[in-house]
Amino acid sequence: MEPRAQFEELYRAYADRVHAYALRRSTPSVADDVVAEVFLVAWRRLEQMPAEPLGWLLGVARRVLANRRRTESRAAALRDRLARHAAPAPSAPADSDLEDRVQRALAGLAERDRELLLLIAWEGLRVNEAAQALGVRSGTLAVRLHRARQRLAEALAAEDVETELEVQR
Amino acid sequence: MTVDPLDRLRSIDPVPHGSSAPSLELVLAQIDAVDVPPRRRPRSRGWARMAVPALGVLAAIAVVAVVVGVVVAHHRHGSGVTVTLATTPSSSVPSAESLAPRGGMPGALLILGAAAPSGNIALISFGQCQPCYRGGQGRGSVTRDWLAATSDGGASWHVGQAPWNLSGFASAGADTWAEGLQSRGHGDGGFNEFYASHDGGRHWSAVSSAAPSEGGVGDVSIAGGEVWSLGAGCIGSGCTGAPPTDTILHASASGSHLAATAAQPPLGDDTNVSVVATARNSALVLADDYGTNPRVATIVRSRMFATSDGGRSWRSVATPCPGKQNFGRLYGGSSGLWATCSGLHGTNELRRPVGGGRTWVTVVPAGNITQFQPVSSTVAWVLTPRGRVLRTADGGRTWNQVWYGGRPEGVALAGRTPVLAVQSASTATVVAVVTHGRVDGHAQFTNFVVYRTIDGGRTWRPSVVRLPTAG
Repeated sequence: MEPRAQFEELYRAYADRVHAYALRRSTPSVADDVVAEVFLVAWRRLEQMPAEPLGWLLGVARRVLANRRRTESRAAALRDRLARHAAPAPSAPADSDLEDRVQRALAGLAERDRELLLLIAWEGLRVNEAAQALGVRSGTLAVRLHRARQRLAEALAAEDVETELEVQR
Repeated sequence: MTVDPLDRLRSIDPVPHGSSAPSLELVLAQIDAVDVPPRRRPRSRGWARMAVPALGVLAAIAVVAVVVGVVVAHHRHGSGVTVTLATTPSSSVPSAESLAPRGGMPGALLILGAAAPSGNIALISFGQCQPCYRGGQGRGSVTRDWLAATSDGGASWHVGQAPWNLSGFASAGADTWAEGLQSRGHGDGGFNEFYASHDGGRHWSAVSSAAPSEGGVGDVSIAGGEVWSLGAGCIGSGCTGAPPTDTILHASASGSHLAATAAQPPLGDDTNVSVVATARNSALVLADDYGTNPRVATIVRSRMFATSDGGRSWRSVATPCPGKQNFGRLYGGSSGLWATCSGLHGTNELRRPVGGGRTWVTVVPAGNITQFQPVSSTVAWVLTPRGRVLRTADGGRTWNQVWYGGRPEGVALAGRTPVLAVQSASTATVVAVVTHGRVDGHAQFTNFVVYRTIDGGRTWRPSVVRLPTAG
């Protein structure tokens, strides 16, 4: 297949997934730019594209986002994130208290655990894809995922108990 | 019933129904614009050339847009320091718009960086953006990188197309270092590098480094004949498994290779890092750690590390920014250390060390600053978002407004103020952008007007940078 056609197929298949990944971690305008940057890298490295490219693409997106955070004006980045807070949520939360509890539990995890769990839960990656995105072996990631799930479950349980105690007081 | 913890995470997905990426046509147009072929062989580094418009803009404001307090006159801070703004002496200075000739370079010019390395030498690194949507960050923009240089204090300028954009300049005598994104035409299509000139900015070359540049963050610092900087992890499949943490780099200022220091301070995966050289073999590293959870917009912790043996060992020292604040950044170095701490809710401060750095105190009240350029422990220059240049000669206790250029049309387009390049306590250069005409709401032609002072801002001499009219 011609590189151009191959690229177009790749874009049609995965651009929305990359965009959603970026949108969960930035603002809509940044997400657009991240998609563009990720697929330019993909265009340059088309011959290296793995058969299942989603993990690879999200790995690039992850680094592009990290790089943007570092190179962007720190204050501007912060304003973006605050604006995101101020903006209406993309969808109405089912239960703000429940959501807060999950958010608190998530925020209490180590960054490494958080990113891995969100790749699985929000991006819907399989273990081998998440391993690709994070640049580790699948076996290593499976162990990390198991432990991260345990830590999340413990954190959620602690939040639930805390909330129940609050209600009883 | 036990609920899968991952299901509970899914229940708070902020984009539960997916989202729509930009259209394929727009992305293809951008790829066509930068004209990069698919790679034949894997390489260890590769950065998105498509980011040039965005990074160009970001590079120009990379060090800047740190929020600090200066503008609000007569505002009293807890430290008891009062800021006073003198009546501007620039009323006799002609406006940039009145000086700029009609025509100029097609499109919008985005200043990537400016420097005044030594003597009468000054440099302006800029990108030409055509068309220039949203200040260069939009889709379909094509950019070219240029370098304007003067060796006679701004009386005449030489403008040439550069193979890379240059930003984040740091100078000491004849040695000037910068970061930048290499342009197309060099095989790779664009990646961040370090660049050095050892003749006051006349000739430049890319230098090798143990880790790629972050691309215009401005963390290049020179003191004691040495340059210190920050290398980023790499991106793309060739770097799979590479650590994402930043790398502290060190070299002789007259050298041509940035090596990783023998020991590295314990930086996190998601960390804003600021590096400043303080003396020979000595540097400070400020690290703000934050998470990637978009709903947790806060710094988890702020730490600072010091070395006095060229990076063979690091020790923790007092951080300039209290825990409630975010995004600290270090400035200065051998002659005086300053830090900005930009807060989450606008409590932005400029801070100085006391007691040999054991503690830090705030020296100016809250406000906004676009650029901050200290030259000693007492003298510093700042540029505000409204285009004012302020100068302190007493360590930040009082500030005098020494230049005001307003917001010419071109500046409004690019969404930024002029650029300030400071050489010494008395010498500084302001570069103002002037745009003429609009095509579909975008810049048609752009010029630079440069103002230079050699007396601490009391008088300013303007000059026009003659730009190629084609290209």
